Amino acid sequence: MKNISILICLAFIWLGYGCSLDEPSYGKTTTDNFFQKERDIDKALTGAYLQLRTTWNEYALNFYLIGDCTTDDALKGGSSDGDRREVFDLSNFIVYATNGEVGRRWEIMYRLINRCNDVIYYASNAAGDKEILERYVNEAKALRAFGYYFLVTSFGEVPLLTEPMVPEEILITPRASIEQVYQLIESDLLAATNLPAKGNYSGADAYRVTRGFAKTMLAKAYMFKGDYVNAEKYLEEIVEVDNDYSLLPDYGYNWTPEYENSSESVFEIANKLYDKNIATGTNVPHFFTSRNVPGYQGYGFHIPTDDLFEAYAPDDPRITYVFVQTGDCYVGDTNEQDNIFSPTGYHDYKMTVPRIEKTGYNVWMIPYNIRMIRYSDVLLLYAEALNENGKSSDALKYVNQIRERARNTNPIDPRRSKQAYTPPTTATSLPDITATDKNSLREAIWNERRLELAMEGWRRDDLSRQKRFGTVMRTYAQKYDTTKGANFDDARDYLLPIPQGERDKTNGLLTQNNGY
Amino acid sequence: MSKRILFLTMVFLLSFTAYAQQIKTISGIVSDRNTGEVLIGATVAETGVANGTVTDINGKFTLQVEGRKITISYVGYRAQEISVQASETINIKLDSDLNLEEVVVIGYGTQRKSDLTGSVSSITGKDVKNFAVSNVSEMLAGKASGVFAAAPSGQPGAEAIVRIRGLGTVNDNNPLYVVDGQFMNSISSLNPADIERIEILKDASAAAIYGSRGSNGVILISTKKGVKGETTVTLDAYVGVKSSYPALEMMNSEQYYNFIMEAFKNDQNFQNSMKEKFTNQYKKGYNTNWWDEVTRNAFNQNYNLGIRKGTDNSRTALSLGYLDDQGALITTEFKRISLRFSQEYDINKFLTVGANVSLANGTQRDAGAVPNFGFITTADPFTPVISPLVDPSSENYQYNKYAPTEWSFNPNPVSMLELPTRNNDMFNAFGNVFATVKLMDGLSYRAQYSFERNHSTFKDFRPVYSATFSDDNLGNRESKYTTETKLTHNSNVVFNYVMEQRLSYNKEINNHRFDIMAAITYEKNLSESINAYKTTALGNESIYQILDAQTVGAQASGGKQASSMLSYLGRINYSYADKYLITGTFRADGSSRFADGNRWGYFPSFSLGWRISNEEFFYNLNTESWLSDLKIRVGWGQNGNQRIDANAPLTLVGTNSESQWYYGNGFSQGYFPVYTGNKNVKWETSQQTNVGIDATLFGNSLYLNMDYYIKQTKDMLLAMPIPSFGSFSNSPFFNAGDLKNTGFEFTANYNNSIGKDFNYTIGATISTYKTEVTGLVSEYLSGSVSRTYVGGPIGRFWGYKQIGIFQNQAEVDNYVDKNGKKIQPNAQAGDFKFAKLTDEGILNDDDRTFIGDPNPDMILGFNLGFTYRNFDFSASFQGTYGNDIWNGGKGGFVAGYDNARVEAYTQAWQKEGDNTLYPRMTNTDTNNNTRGSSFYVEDGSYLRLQNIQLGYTIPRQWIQKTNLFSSCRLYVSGQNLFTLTGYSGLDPEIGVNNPLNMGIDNTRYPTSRVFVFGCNLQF
Repeated sequence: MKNISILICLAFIWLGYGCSLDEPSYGKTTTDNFFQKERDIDKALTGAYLQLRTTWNEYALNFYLIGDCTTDDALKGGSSDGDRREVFDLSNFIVYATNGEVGRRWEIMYRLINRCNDVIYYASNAAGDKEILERYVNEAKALRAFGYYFLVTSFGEVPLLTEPMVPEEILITPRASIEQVYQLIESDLLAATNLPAKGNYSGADAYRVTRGFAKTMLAKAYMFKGDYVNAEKYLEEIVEVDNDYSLLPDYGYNWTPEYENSSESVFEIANKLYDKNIATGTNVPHFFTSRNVPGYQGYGFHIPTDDLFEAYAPDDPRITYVFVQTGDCYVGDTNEQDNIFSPTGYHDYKMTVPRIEKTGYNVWMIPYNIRMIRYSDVLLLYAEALNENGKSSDALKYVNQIRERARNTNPIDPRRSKQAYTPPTTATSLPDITATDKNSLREAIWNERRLELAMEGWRRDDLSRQKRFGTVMRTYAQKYDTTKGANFDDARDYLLPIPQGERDKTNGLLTQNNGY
Repeated sequence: MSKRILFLTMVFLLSFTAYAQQIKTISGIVSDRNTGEVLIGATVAETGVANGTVTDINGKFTLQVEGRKITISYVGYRAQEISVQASETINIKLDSDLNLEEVVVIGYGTQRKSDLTGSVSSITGKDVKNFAVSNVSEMLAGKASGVFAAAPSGQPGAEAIVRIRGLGTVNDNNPLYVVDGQFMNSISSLNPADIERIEILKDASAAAIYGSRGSNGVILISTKKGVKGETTVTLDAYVGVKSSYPALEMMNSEQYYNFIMEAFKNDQNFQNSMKEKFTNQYKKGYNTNWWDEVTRNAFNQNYNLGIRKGTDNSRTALSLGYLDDQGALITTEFKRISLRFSQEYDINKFLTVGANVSLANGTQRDAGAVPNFGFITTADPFTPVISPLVDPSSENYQYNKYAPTEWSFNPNPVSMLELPTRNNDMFNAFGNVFATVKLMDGLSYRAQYSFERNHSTFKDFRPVYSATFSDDNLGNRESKYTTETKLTHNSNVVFNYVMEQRLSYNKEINNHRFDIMAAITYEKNLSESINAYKTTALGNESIYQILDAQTVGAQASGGKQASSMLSYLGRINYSYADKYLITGTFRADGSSRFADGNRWGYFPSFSLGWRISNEEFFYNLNTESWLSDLKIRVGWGQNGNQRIDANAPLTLVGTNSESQWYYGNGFSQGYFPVYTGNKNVKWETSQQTNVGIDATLFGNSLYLNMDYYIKQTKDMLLAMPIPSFGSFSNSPFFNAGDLKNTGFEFTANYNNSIGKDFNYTIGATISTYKTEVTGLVSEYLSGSVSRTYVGGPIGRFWGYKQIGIFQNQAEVDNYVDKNGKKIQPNAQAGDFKFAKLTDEGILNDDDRTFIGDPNPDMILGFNLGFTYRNFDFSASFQGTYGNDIWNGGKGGFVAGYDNARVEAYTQAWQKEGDNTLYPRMTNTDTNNNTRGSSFYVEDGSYLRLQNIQLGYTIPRQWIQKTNLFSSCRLYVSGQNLFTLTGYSGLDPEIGVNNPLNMGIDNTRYPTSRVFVFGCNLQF
């Protein structure tokens, strides 16, 4: 019996001391172990880029839906008014704080910002090549500024996060002033002007953000603030000093596979696919193409308006590369495009990916690059800034570079075997702009911008910073006797509402924008 | 047998001596008053004389007596004395004395019920016998005070959501299940027929022995073991029919056509491009009621064979069960084969060893291919189930025959259920091995190793099928055909074990009785999963439903998780003269789920009982005629809650297959935080004080129990939603606040008889609870439509107050704030009018308020039963009173591609003066009528007949002739036969796991009504 007692005692002791309570987290590393080496920072930076393309939640989709469909350039489209109603509400300026599209812009941009914050914060202590680490930091700063640019221009005052935060800190972070946000954008982008030029990256890094991207975003931020002097300074560097970019000879080349990340491309999101089951492509083209053409089967959103079509001279070759019309047929297709469900009869050319370029993939996950910023945008900004700074005659040169290239564009799309409308170009089509009066030149540049960048997501941004969003939309409503634009309230609609869920979770610490 | 011969011999001898007297021959049957079962071997003896007999295998006896009284006695029953005047036949019902000397399982030991000082409810296997349910948790409904059970879904095999004493936390409120000492997360593999008894530990003094996991209450399940005695063989079987009830009434074809035409009348796009095709769809004349198409009368069967046997030094039990539970929704089914084996050996007078092993193999085909049940009800009625456009003789007709929905976005609901092959297979082995050693007088040692190994596989095969779209088809096309087979095949292994060593000491010295226990346990939980996906096989046949047959797109993933806990625990029970009872417990738990400094939690409890009825003075009160037992209990204790993710303190970085970025030459994998942890998270502790009274009255016919408790929970663990600008991939765990829950519970059980053949029992349980959040790290917590504030209960509905419908534009224009500004500028006649709660401005989120409370004022349970001759009857009810439900099914009234409830059309506002429930028909809803408002809130009080059973025991004289078995009972039983409620949704009994979303009814797998016919045979 004594022996048994001893055994029992031993068993107790074994159970008490022999058992560990440390359990590893299998398969995943912790933040304490990650962010230590250059390789980790590289992976984390890639994690930041990826936030621009979360499957079914791509920034590009949100960018186009808010950027164009709320303006005179595009209708929401879809199958009916109730299809993706949140965009319908936005385009009618009946925006509730629960609007999902508004929430997505907020959420996606903050995901980008927070991942950039990780890179910027941890890179300083990471082991590795200091030069490369510094470049990673500058890339992250450029992307962070890109995020804050869209937040500050869409929402005004926003919470300003600059380094990794724990959940408790988020709960007590209020909105920062617009000026503070711009200060961060400015300092981030100034740092990012040290990034390599587009041509200085190796082929393996060709899609990374560049000094040109940083300077363009910097100029956009200054323009939005009305600081044309600083805007001009950096635009001049891009255009006259750096010479990193040039216009393609033909406007239509921009959306062809042969000219991906071309000399004209300032920022492009590469959505390549190698396996149709791994969603590394984009589904924006699926959203924006015609609903009932075999091989396309889109949702039919993002419809060019009649107003946009009428803004072009009938012989402007760019019409070919902005509008898809019923009766068009792409090379290799047996079915013509049929836009019966489009209220204007148009669809978005720049997001229509011909069926033969999608062979082997699903119609909803497509290998197609999003051309986010083109050099023509830079040239037109430069012209606009010069004109605002009283250098109207200097401005003419740059706006006319755009005109000239448009003029030299082939009005017949080589990718289409049949074209319902072909602009009847002549030698006198699209003459150079000659106005030197500041006001009339301003109008001309604004108009050229609309024609050149049509359906590329920047219209709302332009109308807002040009302080004519309300005027344009009310005029549109009157002209077409429609609800779209009629409800525009200048005191409210330049900004979107702070998402209600965010305010609810912080107990109203985040204030709401005027009128919501 | 020898005993019986002895008695018979005695009877024989005595009959001689008694010969001269007046001899009466008394015969009859002895049976249990409650269950009606005959009692074999009960002693029937003439009072005061050495003359007696025992009942035979049919409970029958014949005794010749001289005197005027006989006494009937039986182990476990109260002896009964009966006067006899002349020769007669008397059927005698004995009362079980369980109420007095019942032994209850209390966790790491047992205790006499009379010695209990904590709040414990017991349910015996008999109470829930023959319930036509596949999961044990469903049997708890209405059976014990303070316990509420409701199924989250009608899916066969689904586990009910069980709440003990309402809500104690905003975190996980699920109780802990302990089966024969093994902690189990899911009890779906447990065969209800194997249950001997269920103990529910409700207050902290009872549950504190389970320390960190006891705060939501503990459900202890004891399975059937061998008992000493002859071999008994039982067979229980039932077959039944299950059907869904009720159905949501959706618009029929004509109504839906009119609804869409009205709602889209201002939509130019529809008018120009779709109206004609839409009208053509309608004119084809189909009028499909999808609910009818996906529901059925399902067949159910269940068989259980049990064998129990015991000798002087071994006990054994074996049970075999088979269940086939088809769901009311087509294709859904749950099948289970279970085997349970229990064996104990007394090796010598010191050492006993034994093992209990359960094996269960379950197969569940669920309705998971339908993402939510809105997909079924909201499909357009224009679409036929089977397309007339597909040639029945064409190849693969069985796959291609389904008509794609003509108008709806989502696919044909029947095809969604029929086309995939989708199975969850589960093989679960659990049980324990143990040894007990009697070390010396009263001191014993027990070592037990309990384990559970659950291997589950999930297989989902999607066949290739085509869709033939009609010329008028306007629906979305992509999700309605596939060009390649797709196979998902996942495997998950869970292995849990507990090592337990326990020393117990029992001692009785004069009036002092001690019962001391100390134990140490170590528990480990491991789970590991492999998930595979691959596409494109040669065909759809079952031989191709395997990964090897698929050719491209292979994807694999897998994960592993581990957690462990080390515990030291002890308990002292002391009673003095059966009058004063004291229990103290202590447990220390160390858990791997917390970071180093917060790892250990300590959970003490203390409770007192006073059996007033055993006091001298009480005897002098002479109340014995009506009050036989009275006990007062007071208890206090602390418990914990560690139901958080195994990685809760850690922030993890990871990636997935699509997180690849193209920089210009091949893809780079991106990494990012995939789980956000909180290093500071620590134990949630709850402290509970309980006061209770137990009383037995009127000759043990009435049993009363009352408990009042105050439960205070500190540092509630909550996965707290953080604003999305923090970009956390999940809601990290926080110690989010404090809560106070006070409640009252009342149980009454009464049994009596009318005449000598009619015995009846009536039982009622009433519970109330009131929660009040006493502190939060944020000012409130948000659920999907609810808010929880300091000073209020958990999860009140939050939204706008809908105060009417605008009858004309003037009403919209005149609805202004103090500055004359329109409050709802985007409204039109026929839109909802919402109350403006603040002074000025348009209606906005500041105008939301509390619009309902899902917490019931009262939870009720009733049990009725009677026996009359060979008939027995029982019924049990569960209900709630005073709670609100958020009826999500009322939504969807904005016209789009989905059908809606018929009231959205018949009750829609159409012209000035209409007094309707629903607003105008529209497809844009510029007024946002669908916003969360009081429109969705309804009274959710209900009373449901959970189970009703009528049995008939075949008279023994008939049975005897067959020579096959010794007893046979036939019964009919119904589950969920009716519900009294004013609630307009599918089912007011809603099991919602997340307390912050309590009472929210999103359309779900419907509850079912079951009729079964069964028999209980004993051989």
